[in-house]
Amino acid sequence: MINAAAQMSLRDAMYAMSLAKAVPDAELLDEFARRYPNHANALTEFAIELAIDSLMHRNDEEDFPADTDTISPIVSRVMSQFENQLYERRQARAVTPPARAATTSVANPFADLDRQEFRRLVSQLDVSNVFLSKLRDRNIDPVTIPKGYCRHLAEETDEDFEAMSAHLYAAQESVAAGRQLYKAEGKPKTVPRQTFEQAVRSSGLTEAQQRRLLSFRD
Amino acid sequence: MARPLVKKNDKGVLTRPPGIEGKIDIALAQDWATLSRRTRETNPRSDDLLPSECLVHLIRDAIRRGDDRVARVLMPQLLKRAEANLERTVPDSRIRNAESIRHDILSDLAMMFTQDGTEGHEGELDFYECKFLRALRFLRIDHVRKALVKRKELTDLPQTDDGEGEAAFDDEMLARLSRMASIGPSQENALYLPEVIAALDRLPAHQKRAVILRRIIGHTEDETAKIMKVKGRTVRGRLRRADKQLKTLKEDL
Repeated sequence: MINAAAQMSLRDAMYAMSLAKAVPDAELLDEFARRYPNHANALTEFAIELAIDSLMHRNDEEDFPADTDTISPIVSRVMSQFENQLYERRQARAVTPPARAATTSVANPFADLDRQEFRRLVSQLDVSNVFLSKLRDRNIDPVTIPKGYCRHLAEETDEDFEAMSAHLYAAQESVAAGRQLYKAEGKPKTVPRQTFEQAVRSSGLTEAQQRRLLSFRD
Repeated sequence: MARPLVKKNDKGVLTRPPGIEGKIDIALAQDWATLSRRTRETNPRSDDLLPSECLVHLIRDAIRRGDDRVARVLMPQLLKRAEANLERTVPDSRIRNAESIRHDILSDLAMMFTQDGTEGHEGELDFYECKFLRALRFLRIDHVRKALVKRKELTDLPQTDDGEGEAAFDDEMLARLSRMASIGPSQENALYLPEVIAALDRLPAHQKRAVILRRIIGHTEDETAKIMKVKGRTVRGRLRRADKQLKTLKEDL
């Protein structure tokens, strides 16, 4: 069976080699040839180019423009392309059917909980139903969630930190109509995301619960 | 909290260096006015300096959140830094149409952001969030190589009297190059190294390959022969001829 590393694209393998060391050496080249046997020859050629490049340039020192306010003609042209592409991306997103968006969704670690399990987790985490629902429905801006709390959530739910983090960062989608079977007046819909602090303050938590949640840090 | 990376290698998901991760977390918590000021900081010793890896993350994050205004303000600063790097590494003096190549590289970099997360473009920018300059190095080498193949044009190395060449070598490379050209490892020999590299670059392709694999990358003679698909004595012959030319250079210095 061909392993995942062997199937990694040549482009990714070259990126990885370039990142690994400032100047490639025999050990690195051997390691990459072993990890990506399909690309061994191309990676050897690339290592030679990296070695020559390393001789010629300082590669690990940032260059800064002399004037941060002036934009060169090249950057100006590229920015124009960038703006056009960004606009097209927004237009394309606007017409993407919801069904397609759903197929690319990230696993939601709370989605499969039934009503009892959900309540048990509320109690275990010492939060309110409302607050856990916000975490489940990705109604909290992930940038504002302390890494420490994300780690705590992952531990309490036996999830990987990365998986929990990916869930919190994924696009909003309602799972309230899943196994937790709450009554609803109409179709579930996404709501604007709150900051972590706003969510803590507006979820019917006691003062002590709020203090504890807000004490988590990155 | 910084969004986790998705690009995987055989050791798992890529991770940012801890220092970068910490700086991203700080930047994400800062208001727009502070960030805007920090993007203009260019003193490498200043605590306010935003590393390019952070800029990449902030731009990606802004685009994902639909905050194009932030992306439009941060992107020119990132492109200007990349352009400054390319003006040094792909100078007009080294390759024909260098400006066009620099434009293509910057354009590719900018388009990565607009295609980020779409099919076929999953996580390429993750490399740039880990080590921006080394990721950019791959993109640069890739573009220059394609341009050279297309034009079948040989490169000339940059002149050494512009002060750029001497500082390019670290001690390890100095030692390797010194061994290669049979020059003692003292710092003063750094002055001669650009000439050594220029001479190396002028060697016939098969000799240059033998020298790089054996003397720079550090393969054994057998490994070099295996990679080059020739016999050991052929490698020895190529190295001998290369050494002869490089030693001639040393005598001329």
